[in-house]
Amino acid sequence: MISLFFSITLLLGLWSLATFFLGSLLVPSPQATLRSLGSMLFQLSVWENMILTLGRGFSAIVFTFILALFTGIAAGLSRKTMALLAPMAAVLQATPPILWITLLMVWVGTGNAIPILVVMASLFPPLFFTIAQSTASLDPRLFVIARTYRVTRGRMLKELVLPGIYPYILAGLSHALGSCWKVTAVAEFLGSSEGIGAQIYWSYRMLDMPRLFSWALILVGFGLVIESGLIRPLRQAAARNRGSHA
Amino acid sequence: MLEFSHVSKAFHGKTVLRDVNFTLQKAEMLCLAGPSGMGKSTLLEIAAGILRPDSGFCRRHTLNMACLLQDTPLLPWRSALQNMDFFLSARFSEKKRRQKALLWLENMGLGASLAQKPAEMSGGMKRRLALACALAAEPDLLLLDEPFAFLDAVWQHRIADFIAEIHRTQKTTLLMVSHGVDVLRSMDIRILDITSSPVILSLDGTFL
Repeated sequence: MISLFFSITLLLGLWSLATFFLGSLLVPSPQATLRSLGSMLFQLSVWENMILTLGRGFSAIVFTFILALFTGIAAGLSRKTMALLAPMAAVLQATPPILWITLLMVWVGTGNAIPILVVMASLFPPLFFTIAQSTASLDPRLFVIARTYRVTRGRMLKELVLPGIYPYILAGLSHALGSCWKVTAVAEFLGSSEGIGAQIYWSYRMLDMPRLFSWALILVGFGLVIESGLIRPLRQAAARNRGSHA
Repeated sequence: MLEFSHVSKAFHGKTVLRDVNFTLQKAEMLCLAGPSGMGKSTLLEIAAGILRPDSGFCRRHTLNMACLLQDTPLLPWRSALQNMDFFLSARFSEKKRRQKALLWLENMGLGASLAQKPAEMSGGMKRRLALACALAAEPDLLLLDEPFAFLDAVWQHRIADFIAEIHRTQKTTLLMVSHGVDVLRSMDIRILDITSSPVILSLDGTFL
């Protein structure tokens, strides 16, 4: 608790120094930023933008997870499927989000599609590889013995594959959650007229620095809430489950 | 029930099985004995469909089969009872599965370990759990690789009795690989001692 207090004090001190040396037009003071943030929190449109960004981020992660789960398990169980899908996932992984944003702006215009599809394109490859590799690392003799006992594929999926890759899914999801809202904001900044990212863009265009810093604080707050409320519990659950799989 | 026809198998250029021919009729029992590294487990794994022969074929005239490997894997994230439920899921209804699981876990001395996961069990307990799965499945063809490994003399005799009982009541065909043949003396089982590699088995069941 003391270290947190010290850390925040240090941050505010550095911020104030930056305001002092660079001027309040470029770096608004913490007090001016908090005043701006306070007034923003009473505006309905601010909450609408926050909810929109959150909704886009979570929709994207749900779609990505479902797609990665099906394709990843299929690739982990079949070398042919892996050989077919892995190069595509590798190409996706190597493609920078800015390229997707540019292409999608041409293809679908602005709106929900860009942030959702950009997040999907960014998060699908790591999730796919995590799920495929963890499925492939399951003991192949378990499948052989299960087939000997004529255990159905559905049952194998439910009781052998999913529990076997569960800790890796949790670890992959925690990583994806950490990245998803950041990618969403970037995609909104460049390819949407609504959402937190778009609001940061408009604050920048209007040179409304206290508002820009307030949005930055909201983004950081989002990150901290997601980190402590979702990512950390997921990582802890993943670590616990890895232990029980030994 | 089980037919090997001109089966050969080699690993890294070393022939382990050469032209193996034999047939096990319904309710026949055969135990392959002898030192390690002679290809007995390879033969059993081909019988189970885990390995494919390089030439020849192995035909099983039943789908109702149960198999115990030297190191039979179990679901590490499931308890003993859940493991049995998983492996028996295609054989019996849910109610019968539970009855059989409880009965065989009790038979195998695991009645107090229903909720234990394999990682929490000793080698002998895991072996008995895997055996419980195989014996509870009521198979027509039972393939057992070293069923007495990791077990003390009391459990070896008890399990030999269970196998004999299942064979008597269900007319199970049995192919077994075992070092410890003393425990099998009480059973009406043909024991073939394999002392040289590669294994060459003639049509009448005599090793050459």
